[in-house]
Order: sequence, then structure tokens, then C-alpha cells
Amino acid sequence: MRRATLAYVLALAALAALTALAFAVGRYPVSLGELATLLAAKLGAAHDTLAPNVESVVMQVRGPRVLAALLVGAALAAAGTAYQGMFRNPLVSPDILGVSTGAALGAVGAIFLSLGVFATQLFAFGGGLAAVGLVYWIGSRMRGHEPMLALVLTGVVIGTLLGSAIALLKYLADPYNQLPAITFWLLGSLSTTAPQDLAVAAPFALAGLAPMLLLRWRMNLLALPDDEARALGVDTRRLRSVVVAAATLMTAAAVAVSGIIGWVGLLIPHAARLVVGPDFGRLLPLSMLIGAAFLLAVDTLCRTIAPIEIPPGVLTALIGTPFFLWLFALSRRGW
Amino acid sequence: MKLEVSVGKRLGAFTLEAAFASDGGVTALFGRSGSGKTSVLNAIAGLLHPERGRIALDGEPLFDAAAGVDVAVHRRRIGYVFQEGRLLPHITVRQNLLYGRRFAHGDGAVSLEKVIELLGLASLLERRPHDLSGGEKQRVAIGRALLADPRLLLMDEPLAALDAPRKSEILYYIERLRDEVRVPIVYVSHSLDEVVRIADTIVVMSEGRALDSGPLNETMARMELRPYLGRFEGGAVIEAHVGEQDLEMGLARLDFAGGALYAPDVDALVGERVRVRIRARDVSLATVRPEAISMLNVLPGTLKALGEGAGASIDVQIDVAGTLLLARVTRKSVAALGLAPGRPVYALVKAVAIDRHSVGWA
Repeated sequence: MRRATLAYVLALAALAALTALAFAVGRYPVSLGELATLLAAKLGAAHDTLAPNVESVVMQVRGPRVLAALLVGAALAAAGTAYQGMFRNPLVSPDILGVSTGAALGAVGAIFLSLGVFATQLFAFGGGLAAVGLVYWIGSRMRGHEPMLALVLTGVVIGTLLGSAIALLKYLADPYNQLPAITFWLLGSLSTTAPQDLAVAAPFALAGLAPMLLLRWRMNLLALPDDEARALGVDTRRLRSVVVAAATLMTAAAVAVSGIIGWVGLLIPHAARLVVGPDFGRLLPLSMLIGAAFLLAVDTLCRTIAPIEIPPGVLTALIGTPFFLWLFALSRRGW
Repeated sequence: MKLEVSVGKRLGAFTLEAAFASDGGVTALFGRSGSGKTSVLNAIAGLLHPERGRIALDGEPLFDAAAGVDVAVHRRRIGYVFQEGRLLPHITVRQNLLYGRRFAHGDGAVSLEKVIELLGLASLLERRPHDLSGGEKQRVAIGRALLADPRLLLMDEPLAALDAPRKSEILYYIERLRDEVRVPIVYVSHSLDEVVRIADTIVVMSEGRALDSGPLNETMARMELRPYLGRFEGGAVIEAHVGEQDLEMGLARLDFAGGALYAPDVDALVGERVRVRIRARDVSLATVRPEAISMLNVLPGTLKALGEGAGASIDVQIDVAGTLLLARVTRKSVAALGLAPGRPVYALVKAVAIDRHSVGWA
């Protein structure tokens, strides 16, 4: 327990430090003193004496982006934690049932039809939900198979099909306007996040989080063989459908804001489990804290280390691959 | 508690067709591997859906093909202890037990303290599953199932993965469960040793069918079931109480309706009720009372029935003042002694043939 408490404290401290740093650095540096003054002013404790452009950089430019990174990172990590617990497999990511591919197809379709930014996000969100809904509907009708295996295999197959549809749209897209927009979206980015994006996405993410918190101790029982959990009194079928729905809602909301940013949902829960073990009630909050901190750090690096912005998906892959392989080599069978 | 089971289903090569009833206590489903025991258990649990039949607990149908009733597994409130029970690895024994408690309706029939005491778990509570032996894990799994306040407890060969000393240890705990908590148990086993020790009712299964069922001692003595009850290990089961313990000689006198039986190393106090299995192969017959013989148990009775069979040996049923014994003798002896139904005989049982696996608490 002491180990878990320490982990929470460290993760929170890192998150706070990174948040301050993320507000401070960038093309227009803001000092920590200015940040403190602004914060005090906003809380009504001091008089606002800052230049107006400092306030607009912090509040309008960096604010939404920082919040988006926190939201998306936490949501992806939470969804990954739920899926890894449900599938009893540390190699599972939130994309396994096709939510990202479905969202990508929705977004690519919207760009292909030149529908505008809000429609793209809406299509992405709807596409993610629809893809998982389809996978779940087909997968749960595969009688006579281990239900989880049927679901994963259906997810893989449908994902491939949706991938082909994306490829077709890219092939048909206008190479000068649409194709770069598609590529940009597929690589993921937080640079264009507007405050209203967050206002729309956050409620869905929270709606997905609530059942996970309420079901946290039942989630642990999914580590038992299915028959044993059922005999004990768990309606495993319903529990799984709730978890899939909750994780999909969170992932789809995140992806609609940021585009596809890989690795967070795979890597972070795995790392958090190494620290506090597989107990879902302890794992979920830590996983979300680390996920938020990680994506904020990545996004901050993306906009500061090079003259042009680097897509965060590229950076998460660069960090994630070696880190994951190292973690994987380090860990023994966790379940 | 009243359990009524009548199920039918095609399962690959054979057809499951089993019907039996039980009034509580421990009901053993006995038969070889592949005889359909576990399928029956899974049907009771709701993990297997029969095509025909009805399963009812205290008159309340859990499954009824005709009426279209099929209560979901998690709503049946039936505990299930699997062959190798899985515990949650990352939490302690105490926390694992408490997971069972979360599913109890109301306060539950058995308290955590009672379960800990009953299954001897006090010293294990703060340990984690990977530090437990197979037998200890199984005890925790039983405790967890018990704490969920089941109406019925199913056990699928819970001792199969354990070594002999562990088996006997767990049997002791299951006996306590039967006698102290009085939770009805359906117990699947292919080991006659286990069945004889703990079962009140036995259901004899072969090739998907329930051949017969009834109280253990009556059923065990039934001639027509002999081929299914283990030619080698089978024999009559009698209920007795300990009349005397001769600690110096290490011998107990067990009194039953037909007389007294001497047996070594009986782990019970004077006055306690025990059940004793007397293997048919350990019983010899004589037509006159033998003298100057080392066999301590010479029980006078009447030959009731002769079994059939073309092999060298044959089963013989003897009525010892109302208690039925089985003897396995050669056909040569049957001919030489002129054994026939109605003939007075003496059943001879070596005391040392009654080993500790053959005696259990009744």
C-alpha cells in the first residue's frame, strides 16, 4: 500500500510540474512568475498586471492544448487499462476492437467529403463507436468459441477491412488538399484543439470513466476463468459489454479530439501495473495520471524540440517501442 | 434441501441422460472419466444447457425445458469448486475470501470467522495464493464459494490435483462442512475412497447415464451395480458407532446392527458414528465357524444372493442381521462349499484390511 501511495504522490507531482512547464515553454516563453501572477489573478487573489498577450497565450493558445493532452492521455490510458484487464493480456491496446480504425475511417470520410472540422470530429467519434458496435455484434454471435478470442479476431478482421476502406479513400482523395489533411489527421495532433472541442469530448470521456470506477472490483474477477467468475455470481457477459462500451466511449472521444495517437493505451497501463500490481481500483487512477503526464510531456516536446511540429504519434512510437520492449523483457507473467 | 435433476443432451459421441434426486447432505456423482459426471454438474450450475429435462432446487426450477426456464448462472446462487480452483493472485487469502462475501445475499449464512475456523485458514489469511500449496488453495476456494452463501455447493473432483496426504486433509474439511454448516454438496469423483468417506447419496454414472442412485450404504451393497462400483475397491458400506477404543492394541470395536467389527487405527472417539467400507475382496466365507484363526471379524449371516459372471471369481451378498455385506470369492469355492442363497455362512474380515481410507465419520 505504501508503494501505491508513493506512486500516486510522485505521479501527481510530475503532472503538476509538467503542466506548469507546458504553459511556460514554447515560441512565446512565459515565466513561472508570470504564470503564478496569472493564476493568482484568475483566483481573484491579486491584481492582473500582465501584458495582455501573456494572458492570451496562456488562456487561448496553450490552455486548450494542455487540457486536451491531459484529457486524451488519461482517457487512452484508462481505456487501455480496462481492456488489458478484460482480455487478461498486457499486449492489448484500446484499438483492439477497431475503435481507432473506425474513427479514422469516419474522419477520412469527412475530409474526403470536405465537411469541415466539426463534422470531421463528429464522424470520427461516430465511426469509432460504429466500428466497435459492429465488431461486438458479430463477435458475440460467434457461438462455440471462447468469447474474448472471438471478439479479438473479429476486431482484427473488421479492422483490416476498415483499413482498406481508408486506403481507398486516400487513393481517391485530391492529392493537394485532402491527402495532406488526411495524413495529418491520421498522425494525430493536438495543435488545432479549440476550447469547444474539449467541452464536447470531456462529458463523453467522463461518461465512460464512471462505469469503470463503479465496476472496479468486479473487473478484478475477470482474471478468473469465465466459468468460475460466473459461478461466483458475476454476469461476465454484461460486465464485458459495459467495459467495451465505456472504453470505446472514452477512446472515441479522445481520438475525435486528437486523431490517432498510438502507444499511450498500450504502454501506460503496462507500466502502471508494474508499479501497483493488477488490482483495478488502484491501477486505474495511477494509469490515468501517468497517461495524462506522458501525453502532455510528448506534446510539449513535439512543439518545442524542432522548428516544425512533430506529430505526437511519431514521438510516442519512438519512445514507446524501446520502452515497451524493455518493460516486457523485465516483467513476468502478470495475470 | 431437495435437489431434483433430470437432464438429457447429446454430447458428441454419447448422450447424457441422467435423473436423480437428493435430500441434502453430500451427493456423490460417481463413475469413470468420461461417464458424464461433470456434464451433470455443469448442467446444475447452468454452464451447460440440456436439451430436455428439469432441474429444481427446493421445488424452484432452475431449468425446465418444457416451461422454457433457464436461470442464468450468476443468478442460481450455486457455489462451484473446480478441480484446480483459481484464486486472484495479487491479493491475500483474506481478500480472496472477501470477494466471495460480496456476492452473498443479505448477511449470508456463514460468517467469515466461521469459514476461517471451519477450513483452518487462520494462519493463511495474510498470505498470497502463490505461497499456498494445492490443498491450501483448494481450501480457500471452498471458503470463497461458501461465503457467497450458496444454496448448493458443487465440487468437481476437488482433490484430483492433490497428493494423497492432501486429499485426506481436504476430505476432513469437507466432512466438517457437511456436518457443521450442513450446506448441501454435489460432489463429482471417480475415487471410491472419497465417495465412501463423505457421501450420503450416491449416483452411479456410466456412459452418460445415471444407472442408479440412492443412500450410500444401500446402493453400495446392490449386486447389479457391482461392475460399476469398482471390482477391486468396491464393497459394502456399513454405518456403525465406536463401542470401544483399545489404545494399547490400537484397535477399535465398531458396533453395528449385525454385530461388532474390529478395525485398527480408527480416528474417532467412543460413541462417535463412523462409516466403514468393507471391500468385497477382503471378505472370505466359511460354512462353519472357524477356530484358531487370526481373523478377528467372524460375522454370522445368511447368503442372500449369488452374482453372475464367467470369470474366476463371483460376488456374493450376505445378510448379517439386516446389514448387507459383499464378498468376492472364486467360483471354485462356491462349488466346493455348495454356496447357494438361503445358506447360513460366516463372513470373515481381516481387521487389518479395514484401513484408514475405509473409515470416515458418518
